[in-house]
Amino acid sequence: MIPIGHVLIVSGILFSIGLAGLLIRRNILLILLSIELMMNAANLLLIAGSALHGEADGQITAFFVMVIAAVEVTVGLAVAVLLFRTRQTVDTYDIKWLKG
Amino acid sequence: MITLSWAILWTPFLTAVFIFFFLLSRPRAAGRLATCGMLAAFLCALALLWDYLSLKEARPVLESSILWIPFAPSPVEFGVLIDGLTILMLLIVTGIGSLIFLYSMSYMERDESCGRYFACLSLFAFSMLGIVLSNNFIQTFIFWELVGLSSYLLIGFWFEKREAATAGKKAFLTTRVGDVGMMIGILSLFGYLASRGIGTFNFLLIEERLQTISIPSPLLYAVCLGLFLGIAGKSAQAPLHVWLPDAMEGPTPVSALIHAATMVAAGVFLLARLFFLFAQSPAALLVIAWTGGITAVLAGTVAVVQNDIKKILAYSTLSQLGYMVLALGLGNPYAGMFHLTTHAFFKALLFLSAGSLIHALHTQNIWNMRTQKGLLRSMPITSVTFFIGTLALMGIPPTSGYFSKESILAAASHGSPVLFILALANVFFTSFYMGRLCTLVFFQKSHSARQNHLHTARESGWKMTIPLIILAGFSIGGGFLPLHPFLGARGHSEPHSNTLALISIALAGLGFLFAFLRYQKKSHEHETLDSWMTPRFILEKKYFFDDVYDAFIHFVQENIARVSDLFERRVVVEGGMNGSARLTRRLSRLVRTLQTGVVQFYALFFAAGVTVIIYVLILSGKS
Amino acid sequence: MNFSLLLPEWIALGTLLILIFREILNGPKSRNSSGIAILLTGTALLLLSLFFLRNSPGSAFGGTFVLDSFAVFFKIFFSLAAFVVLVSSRFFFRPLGGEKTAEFFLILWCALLGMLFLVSANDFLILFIALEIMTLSFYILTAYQKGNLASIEAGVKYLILGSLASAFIIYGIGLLYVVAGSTHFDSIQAAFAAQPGHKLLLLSALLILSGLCFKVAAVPFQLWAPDVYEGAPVPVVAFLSVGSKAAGFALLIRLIFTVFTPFDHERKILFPVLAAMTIIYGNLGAVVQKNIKRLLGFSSIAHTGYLLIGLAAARDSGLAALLYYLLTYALANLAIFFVLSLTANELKSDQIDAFRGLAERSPFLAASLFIALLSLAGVPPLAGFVGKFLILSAAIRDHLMWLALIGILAIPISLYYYLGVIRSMYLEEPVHTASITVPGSAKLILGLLITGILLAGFFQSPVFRIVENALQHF
Repeated sequence: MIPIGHVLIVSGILFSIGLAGLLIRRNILLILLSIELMMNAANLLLIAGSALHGEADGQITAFFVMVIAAVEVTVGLAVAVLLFRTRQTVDTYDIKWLKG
Repeated sequence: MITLSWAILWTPFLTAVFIFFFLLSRPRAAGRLATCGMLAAFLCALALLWDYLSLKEARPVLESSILWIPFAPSPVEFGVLIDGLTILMLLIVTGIGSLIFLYSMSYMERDESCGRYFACLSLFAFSMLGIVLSNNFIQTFIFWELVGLSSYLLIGFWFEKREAATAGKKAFLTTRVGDVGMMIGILSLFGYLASRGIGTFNFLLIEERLQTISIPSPLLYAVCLGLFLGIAGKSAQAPLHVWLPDAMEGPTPVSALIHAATMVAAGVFLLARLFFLFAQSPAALLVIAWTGGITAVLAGTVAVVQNDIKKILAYSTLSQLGYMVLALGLGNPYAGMFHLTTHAFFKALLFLSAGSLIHALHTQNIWNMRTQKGLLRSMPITSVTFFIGTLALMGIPPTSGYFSKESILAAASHGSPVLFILALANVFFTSFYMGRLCTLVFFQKSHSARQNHLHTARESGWKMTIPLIILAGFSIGGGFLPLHPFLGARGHSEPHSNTLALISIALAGLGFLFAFLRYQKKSHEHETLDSWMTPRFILEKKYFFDDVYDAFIHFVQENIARVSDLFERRVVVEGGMNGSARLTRRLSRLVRTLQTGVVQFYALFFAAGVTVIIYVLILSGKS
Repeated sequence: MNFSLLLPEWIALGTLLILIFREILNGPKSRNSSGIAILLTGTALLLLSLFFLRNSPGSAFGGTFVLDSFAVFFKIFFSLAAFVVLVSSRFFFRPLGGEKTAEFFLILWCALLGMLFLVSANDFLILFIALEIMTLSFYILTAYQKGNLASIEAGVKYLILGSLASAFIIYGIGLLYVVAGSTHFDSIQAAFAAQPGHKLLLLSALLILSGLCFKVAAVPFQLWAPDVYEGAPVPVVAFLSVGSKAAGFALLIRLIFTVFTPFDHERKILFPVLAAMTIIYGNLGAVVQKNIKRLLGFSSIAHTGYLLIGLAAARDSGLAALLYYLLTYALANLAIFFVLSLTANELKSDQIDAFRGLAERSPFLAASLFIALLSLAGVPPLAGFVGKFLILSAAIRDHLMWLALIGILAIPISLYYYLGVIRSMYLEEPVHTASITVPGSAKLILGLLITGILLAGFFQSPVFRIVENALQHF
């Protein structure tokens, strides 16, 4: 059994990487990827917790989270495609018409 | 019964709103609706009376209220309190109100904006009924202000006329001064009760609690004076009386309703309602009595030199109000309310018949009102009813005015002798100025050619004469109304004294006789004012009240205003207001720079925020 | 298993299925009006079922779904808001015809479904799923106007930032699970009680609350709001500003006062600061705005600030004030956005200048907007004043004087920008003088909303009783 502290640290690192990715990368698709990463960090926690407490709740929750993450990415992709069709760009630095 | 009282209260409000939204352009329909509304309220008041009388207890008191603002320092309620006093006032307000509404339909028919008139009049009725029915201080104050507002709207009804607009302002401002005192009184009372743990605004509760605790006399004195200041403003007691004569700029039915029968009576009513409070402060009662007495004589003497029929009646009202206040100050609310009731009848009658005269003769100056044939013949109903009103005012038996004035004089006879003499003197003055009026208007025939060109006066229509007749009937018979069940708890009728009766009748008769003899042949007043400071001059200047106020405003207030203006323009507006506006704009532009439009900046801000929160709460605070 | 407790959700689900099948079977031939009819019927049934369920609390699904007076209050709230938004979207999309908008109603209904489950959630899994249902629907709705660049941009931003917030929430839930061993509220509450000083628990609570504060647009999570409010279609903004915000606050109340109760000390440090900053940010940002939707976005942030005061103050007075304020805010906002939907097609612009002379073109709309804006500003005797008064009194009662002072100082600032719109409407000449006709049904609903604003201002007792009834369990 992996000590829970290690899992916490790893998931923390994953989350931070995801967050950093979201903050740094300019391509919307990569941002969506980073969000996926963050949610999977959470999944890691859930599954580890499930192992720690010997209950299945965490794993079930993890499944749901995966589904939801998938839906989110789907919607994100759809919007990204919409954006691309209109403005031929998926660079977040370009989409600042709404400001002030 | 409670539902009936709510109906009475809200009907005029609904008619006012309805007229305001839909009927402003159809004045005749507005008039009909408003009158029907008031009549309905009157019928409800009668039904209420019937129900009340059939209750078994001796002097029942009913109350019902809705919690209105639940979370103020003390929950504020909106409710009705029904006892004898309430029912009496309800009948007066709705009854006389209906008659005046009916009268107005004819009087105002040539005025195109009379839709607004009826809306304002209905609003006034609503406000007045609100005061009558109220069961707590806050509600009374709110309706008190509303009455002031409606009065302002009605006095300044013909706002295109500068004097009317000014008069409206004057009325509003003067009563406002009184209202400040009233608010201070209310809040002081509440504050004290709250400090003893029983803070409430409800009349019945306060009355009950005053039986167990007692308020320190200085505080009670201050509270009563504060409340009386408000009452003095509304009921036009000296020195806050200056607005009432000017208020005659409004249409005559308005003067009849507001400035004779109801609004000015609101103060007296409140005094009676709160008498349990005042009764505990003899010092305050003394002040009240003296104010009443002085006002009565002051007004009575000024009335002697007035040339406008409405102004005479206005000063007469002031004088009679003085009597009512005097009675209450002497500890006899019964007498005061009795006189209020009878005064409502005959003063409204006098104003309405004066209005009838004005309507027919197109003048308000008593020197111009004689006609060739004599008014008695051309306008019989008006003339006779006017006489009846005069008789009631002078206090000649068997009119109602006689009985009520008697009770006041009897009460005065037990009090300070000076006040008693003032009261008696006023009886003389009252008959004198009324005698002057009647002589000049009714008992002279005009001979000059100029006045023959006036329209030959015709009697007014039924809408105006029927109310006159009804009011005349009450003026005569009102003295026999059984008012005891309604007012019994508040004082008593003095034992009848024949000597006093004879003295007052004699004074009245003498006053009228003197006036008749003096003015029988006169065709104009002495114009010359060559001797300064003669009694006549003082009277014509109305004891210089207006001049003093004016001077105060001009020399004191305007200079203060000038300094304040400078301060305001430089410091407040330029520095404060504009400065803060500039500051806000600058800050706003600063905020704007945060909305860069780049989504990652937003995300960064988000993440940074979370980090800061976590740092502050978890890592540095040791929880 | 008490399935009848979920009657509203069944009804909503059923309506959704009917709509989906209608779409599948009819396709582009389906008419707008029948869709609306189905939805309005659904809403009516929802309200009916809630009416019957209002006095029967209970829980289902092993305690993960709970129906109490608090939940019923909010479900009725959401249903009524959805009703108004549905009607207004009908007017907004009228020129577009049926095919483009059938899915709109469907997804809007999905959002409502999410909200219904959200307030009954007693378990973090349910909470997360319901939250995501609602939020994902809103992402789609925000980007709905495909031809409008602003809409797409708003959708992108909302999606990215919203997913970020959701990631924080689920990470927090994960941490909670690791420490407490369950996602059920009751178990977590027990875990908190057992180890009150546990840093990880506090961390997870903060992460979850941060994510929720994003939803209600509190500082420092509020930057998305002006952009999204400006870009999204008007009915969406209406539902977002009323429904999503209320859902967020419902969750915040439930979590802070039942699950995270040991963190009272932190609450009293955190929320007053957040409230103050939010009020300042929202009001200052609105002052220089020229676009009415963007202005309403900033104003919405400002109102969130006031609502946060309710969370910061003591429990009894603060929560009651919060709910009352939420109600008055909802009434006014729904009215404003209703007017905006009606005028959007006529005025063809979201600039405040476009509203010039509205009083001449449609006195009814101008008057409604007037009353609603003044209510938001907190002018007595309108409902908004009572809400503000309650909130500020709660702050003062809890000795948060500085916070109340900021709240009061912000009022004149808000008056400035609200009156700016009013001034445009009444004191300036319109560019086109064609009068705007308002359909009867619109007048009826708008009239009801305005009457509600007036009544809630005058008759506070009945509303107060409703609010107190909803807060029985806190």
